[in-house]
Amino acid sequence: MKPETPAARELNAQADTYGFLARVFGSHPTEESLSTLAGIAARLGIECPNSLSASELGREYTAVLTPGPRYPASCEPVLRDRWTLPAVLKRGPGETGETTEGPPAGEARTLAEPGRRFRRGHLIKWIGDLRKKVVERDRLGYYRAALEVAEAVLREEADPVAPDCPPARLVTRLSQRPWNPGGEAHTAGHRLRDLRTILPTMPKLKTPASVRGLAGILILCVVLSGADKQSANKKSLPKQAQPVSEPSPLIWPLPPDPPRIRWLAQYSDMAKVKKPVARKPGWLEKVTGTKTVDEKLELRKPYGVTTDKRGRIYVADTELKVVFVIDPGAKAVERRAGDSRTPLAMPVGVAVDSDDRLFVSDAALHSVICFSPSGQPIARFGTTVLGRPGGIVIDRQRNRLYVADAKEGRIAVFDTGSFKFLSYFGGPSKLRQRDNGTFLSPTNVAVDRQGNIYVADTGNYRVQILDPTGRFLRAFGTQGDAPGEFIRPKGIAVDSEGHVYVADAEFNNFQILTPEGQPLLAVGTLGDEPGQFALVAGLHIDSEDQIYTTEMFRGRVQVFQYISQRGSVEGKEVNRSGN
Amino acid sequence: MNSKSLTLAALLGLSSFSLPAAAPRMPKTNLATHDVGGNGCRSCHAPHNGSLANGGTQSTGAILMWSRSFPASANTFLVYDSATMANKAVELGGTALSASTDARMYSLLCLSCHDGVTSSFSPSMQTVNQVGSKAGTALSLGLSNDHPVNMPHDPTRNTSLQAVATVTASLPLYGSNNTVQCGSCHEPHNNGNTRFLRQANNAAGCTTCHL
Repeated sequence: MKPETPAARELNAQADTYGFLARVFGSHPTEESLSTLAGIAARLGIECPNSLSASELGREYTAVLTPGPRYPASCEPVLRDRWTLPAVLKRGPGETGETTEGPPAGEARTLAEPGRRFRRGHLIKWIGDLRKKVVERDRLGYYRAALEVAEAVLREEADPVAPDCPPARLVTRLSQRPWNPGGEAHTAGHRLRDLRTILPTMPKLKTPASVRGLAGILILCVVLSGADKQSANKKSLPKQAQPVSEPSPLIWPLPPDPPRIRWLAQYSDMAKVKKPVARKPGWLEKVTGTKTVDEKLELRKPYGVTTDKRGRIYVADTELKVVFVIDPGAKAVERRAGDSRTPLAMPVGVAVDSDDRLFVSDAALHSVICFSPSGQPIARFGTTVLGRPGGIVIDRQRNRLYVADAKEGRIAVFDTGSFKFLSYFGGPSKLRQRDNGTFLSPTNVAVDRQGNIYVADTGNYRVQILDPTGRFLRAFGTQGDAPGEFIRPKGIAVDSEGHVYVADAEFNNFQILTPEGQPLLAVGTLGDEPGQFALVAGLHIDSEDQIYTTEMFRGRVQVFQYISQRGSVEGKEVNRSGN
Repeated sequence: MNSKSLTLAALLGLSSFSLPAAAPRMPKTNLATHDVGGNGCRSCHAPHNGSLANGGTQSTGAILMWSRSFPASANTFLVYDSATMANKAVELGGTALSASTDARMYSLLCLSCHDGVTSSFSPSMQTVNQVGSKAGTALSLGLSNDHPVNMPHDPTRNTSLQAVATVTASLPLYGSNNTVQCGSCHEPHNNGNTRFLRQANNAAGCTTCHL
């Protein structure tokens, strides 16, 4: 931990509550938040140190109170300090009422100022609770709702009827607030409902119309899976479907920085999907007349993900040994499992060529299988040249298929027309060497618009870039835990503006970097909420700059949208690190 | 620097020579194949490279340029770290994540390499391993007949198990409900028993947990 600067110590001592709020609101100041902050400070009788802006205050407090270098959860200004613990204010000896957890002694001391105790405690508690409720669903909503709560509590304080703010009464009043109408314990379903309640009252976010349309389509598609379940049984709410009509407010980074990434949708448990009737009806169906069957489809251990021209999503599930074809438009899911002669054994990488033919690398069959657009396996190749194929990608201009071979430490190149093996790019790294152009367990590969090849060189904790002839261009990344460094880089892709996206199974995020390796943004943290990842693996970007990720732990595909800031003043990438 | 602080520095320097700190307790290491590419400890453990964000010497000097409003001190990833890893919560398949302390993190670290797909190594990652599910049932898709990751060791439910204290005398169980994690049977730093097992793979090994 950094030593406490004298200025910070003074601020700490001076304003517990204000400091907390300053960190909440000051981290991302707006005109609204600053004026609210000033108002709160005035009402609490706290002198607002004018020498520091709220944003500087936020930094100061974070630097002082954060118990070590941390990565903020999902890129939000996490309030990692004593206040954010699930501690509720400790009751005094004479108090009665419901029991609450007591904070550690140190916290009790800091809050033990007579008279202020309950007010501050409940302010903190309720903001903390609110954060838990909505933070992962809606960071902006959280921020606004926190403002609302803070003001509500302060109004309660000013209420002459309740000058001492009896804690139980405050709790009751606050629990009756709109986002928690019944005062029930919060479940995922409640959070969802809360969000629905809160969202319409929030100021609308500025969203590009195109993004809104896309998000609408995708979210609509996801909704189908969970809708009936929700009405039937609230307690077993599926976690995946978040039917919000407006575009997801989950964005990275938070204001005031311009948004670059928006969460769109996720697919995991696709229960109640009508099974397609592509196959011949069996005798039972002939008897009963059933054309479709309700079937529970769930992703178990997805790795590779890609999309085709029609926007269908292909996900290789290594445990179920199938490739799911999710059609968001038609709300249908198909499967590609190979035929009885060559069933898929461990499909890993998926790629689709310009004719919508699907290529699947199979780590157990040591080969690549090509499926026709209708789903028939038409070729299997590479058996003699592939060791343990991982991620694959197709260069549509050159009709080439690149296969990352984790075992052999090289990239195998095939012709997508003739399925002929063309050449190897690179070779295995020698022991303790990280020579350019050599790989140690390369797991995934991507191509940019110029045909340059981006390799997630997992074992060497770096990304290497080759030109279309296989010549080494550059590499970036080293092992470490700072932005721009990697531990288990896996999925990799390049967007239309040349930004490189690298998913890291250890960080459980994806980083966005310039082609030269300067980190721009990191999205995600460990967890299973939207925008979080649990063993993130594959990553794909389609022509609309939508980002698809897979997670092997949660069995989930998440979709994000890259929001281009080209042409806007805010979008300038230069001179952004100076301050 | 004044003379007082010089003296202090000298004293500190002397004391560090005269009273060398006890060497940190390191596990007996025989990394074998876990020495991936000759990277030694770095095969699994990521050092903090003293980047700008850590407040140390700048190495990459990289900060997230699209997110400049974050305090610099928060710009470091929270990664594998013995002091904090248990605070990160994840469940092996199944239900929602909670913010509580979760021993399953210990297995997640292993599985970030041993994903059964791109690693050349064998153990498959199990997405479902419910308590009491039988080996090889459709539920577990045949994967949970070995590697009982995240299974609570509970002699009160299964009377053919040794008492918890008997197990933990030689093998670690994790979390408040004494779950079996990868590290219960495997010591990733020491391949002395082959397969990175903590105990020799013989009958005596069985009876550590089973009656």
